[in-house]
Amino acid sequence: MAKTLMIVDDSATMRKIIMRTVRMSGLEFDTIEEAGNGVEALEKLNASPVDIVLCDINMPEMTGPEMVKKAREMSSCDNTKIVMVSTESAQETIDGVMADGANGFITKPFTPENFQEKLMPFMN
Amino acid sequence: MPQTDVKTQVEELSVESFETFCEDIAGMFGIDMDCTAQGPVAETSKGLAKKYKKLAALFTVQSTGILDGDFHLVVDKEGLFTLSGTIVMLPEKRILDMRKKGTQQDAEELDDAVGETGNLLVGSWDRVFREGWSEHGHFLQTGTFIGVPWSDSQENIGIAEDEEFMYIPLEMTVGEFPAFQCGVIFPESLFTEKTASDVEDEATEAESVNENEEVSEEITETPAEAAAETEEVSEPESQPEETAELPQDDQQPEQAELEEVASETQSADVAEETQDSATVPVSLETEDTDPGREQANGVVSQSIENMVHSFPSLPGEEMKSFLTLQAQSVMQKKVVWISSGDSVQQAMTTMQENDAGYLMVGENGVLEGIISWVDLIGAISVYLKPVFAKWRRPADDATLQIRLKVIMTRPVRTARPETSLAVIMENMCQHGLRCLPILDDGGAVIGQVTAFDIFKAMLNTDSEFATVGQSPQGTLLQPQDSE
Repeated sequence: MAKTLMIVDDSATMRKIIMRTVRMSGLEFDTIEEAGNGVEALEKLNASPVDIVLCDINMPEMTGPEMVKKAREMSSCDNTKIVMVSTESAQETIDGVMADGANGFITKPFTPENFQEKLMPFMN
Repeated sequence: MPQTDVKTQVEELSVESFETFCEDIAGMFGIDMDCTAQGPVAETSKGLAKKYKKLAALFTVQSTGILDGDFHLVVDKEGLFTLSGTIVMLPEKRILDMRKKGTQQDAEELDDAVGETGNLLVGSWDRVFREGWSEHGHFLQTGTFIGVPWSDSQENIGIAEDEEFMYIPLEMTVGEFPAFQCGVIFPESLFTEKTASDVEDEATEAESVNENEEVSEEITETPAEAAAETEEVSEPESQPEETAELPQDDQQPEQAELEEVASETQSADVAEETQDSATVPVSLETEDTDPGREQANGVVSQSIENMVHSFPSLPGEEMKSFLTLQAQSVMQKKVVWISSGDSVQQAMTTMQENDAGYLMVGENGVLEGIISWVDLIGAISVYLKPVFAKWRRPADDATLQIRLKVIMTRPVRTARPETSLAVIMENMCQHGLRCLPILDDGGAVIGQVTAFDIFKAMLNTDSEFATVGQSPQGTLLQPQDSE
């Protein structure tokens, strides 16, 4: 069964790049939502949960790690897998966001194979 | 590390970083990219003003670790439009036009793409330095300047007009576009203000802060909420009779099916033995959306299902009594608990220390979820396997820090001590589970029944069961498999 995806990044360019790369990876999604920051993402997730969220770290309004924490308090996101996508690859940042409830981490720049490898386990 | 060594290391890694950036972008966008380094030179803003006469994009990078301070990555006008145009997939002709006639306004209209170009560039740099230099801390892009930075370099990039810095120039090509200039500017202050011991001290301090943060992490779920999420397996009154009344056709399973069951059972025993000796449990049970979950029609569930529907055909009356065995007679009384706030790594250690295949997740005896070894394996990166060590990155290690509350199975399906094995097996099949916690009247966990417990009970109950697994070549289930 095809899944639903949300891409959370303050850069519209990066959202398009991620969307294109996800499509190139061969992973099929019923719908792909977009959000420009954590606040917008949480509002959308509250109204309509998705299976997988790809989330940037550094964003205005609400950062990725803050969004992860709040999403994990929402029952609508119980089954949502959150994968961080960022150039921010400091070990403490990655450890912190994973401890807060993220399910994976993809570093930029990325390739279609990176998405395939990290998201495939969540597609079954 | 002596200053000259630091500079040499920086120079080598800088060139490697640009090369890696080319590889990364080539992989992302399916284009050819290349770059050629021209060796470091001592330079000033005045000097660069002659090299970068027109527009340029300058990305400020904050560095921590042995290089402590800001440095700058720069691309000329042609590079600015080529790279940003490429990542937003502008038509080739448009990119060529902008390379020639593009204005600052054109560049600013592409500012998001220019910023992301810098972001990707810094991403490649950070990775190369992290992998190539243990004393490297972190790179973070803190600014993007589009314009002519040299006119007021102190204001724009924090470097006085006559201040000398190390500049490493490169020539880069993207696809069929003509080559453009880019480079990196390292202020001399970066090479003098920090010693390796300072870096070590800071790293220790950061580690200590990180540990404290972990300890103080709050567990947000309340036990009461979690308790409400458990689903008890109820026993339908007619279950044994229904099973006994299966049609005659179903009572004689095909030899292949029998072999499959026997083979699975044998594998299960082997797995159980492995679990005992090497503390590597092999089992599975999560929710539908969980990657570690065996589907309801998975191999083991299918085997259990075959067994459920083929009982009447099994030789010996003992199998009938097997169906009516109660959970309390086969369950493992030892259950191991862990907190939902604990990490995957802690769960793995707990499983190994207790020789357990499943952990009950919760606090003070209140069941919030359940976790299996396969759930844990499914949560961590495959690059943690020794065979992939070469490609292992910090993000892979970080998967060990995932909290159990994110991956545990919930709600938890449970059973009562008096629930029959037939019902337990039916539920395991329906929901793709291999372990059911057993609760007493007060809702306290008093044991667990796993698929292996059922296999063991079956072997104990029916002395003739081994004959079911016979193939033309001989008995698949050896007597010594029975306990």
